[in-house]
Amino acid sequence: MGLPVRVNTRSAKIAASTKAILEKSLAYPFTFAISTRNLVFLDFDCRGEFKECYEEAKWIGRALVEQYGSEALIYRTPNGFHLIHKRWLDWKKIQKIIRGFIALIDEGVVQYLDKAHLEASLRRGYLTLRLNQLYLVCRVINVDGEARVYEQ
Amino acid sequence: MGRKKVVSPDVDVEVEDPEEEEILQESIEFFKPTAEKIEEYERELKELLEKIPSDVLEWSWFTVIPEKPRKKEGEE
Repeated sequence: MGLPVRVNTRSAKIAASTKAILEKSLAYPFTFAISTRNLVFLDFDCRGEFKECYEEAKWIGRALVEQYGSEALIYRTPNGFHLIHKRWLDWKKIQKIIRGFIALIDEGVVQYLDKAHLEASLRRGYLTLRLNQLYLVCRVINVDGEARVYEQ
Repeated sequence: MGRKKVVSPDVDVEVEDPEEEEILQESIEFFKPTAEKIEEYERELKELLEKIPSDVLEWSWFTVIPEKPRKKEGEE
């Protein structure tokens, strides 16, 4: 593995140029991701158990929507699922939510949520999700105070 | 923990070791990507972003990361 380099930018053009520069100069592939300090981005690693993992992602999506409102999007990825909760929260609140999920993982209540991803997010001060091969599989929407799942 | 260096108001680079950053900067000066490659990646990113709602993008930024990071990096 090469150098652990990551580049953050607000510009799509700079992101594209940087990927090209890094790949040519460091000679290994890079990928695009999105990062945030104000939304909940979660990564689920299914370890082959896609059905159970999907159920867990939907359960967490419903819990977030019931507690904070708005909408949760669940995407299929090559190794599992990504969840994006579309409710703006400040980083202090996001940190609290992340710590809550880590506690649930430690208690064994949550099995597929990637603990290393959450811990790294707390260290860095932001959450990151890779963008390659995403397929939207469901939306969890708040309807009259109730979280409802709509499969795509 | 990654070291963070802001190289312009719009770009910041994180590396674990100052020496690595020096190597990276020298490499960037030496290797220039082709315009075609940049255009290809701009198209790739545009296609990827079509799957993400605009209000999510409003509160996010782009990160370019190694395709297969070390496990301790904590990415999926």
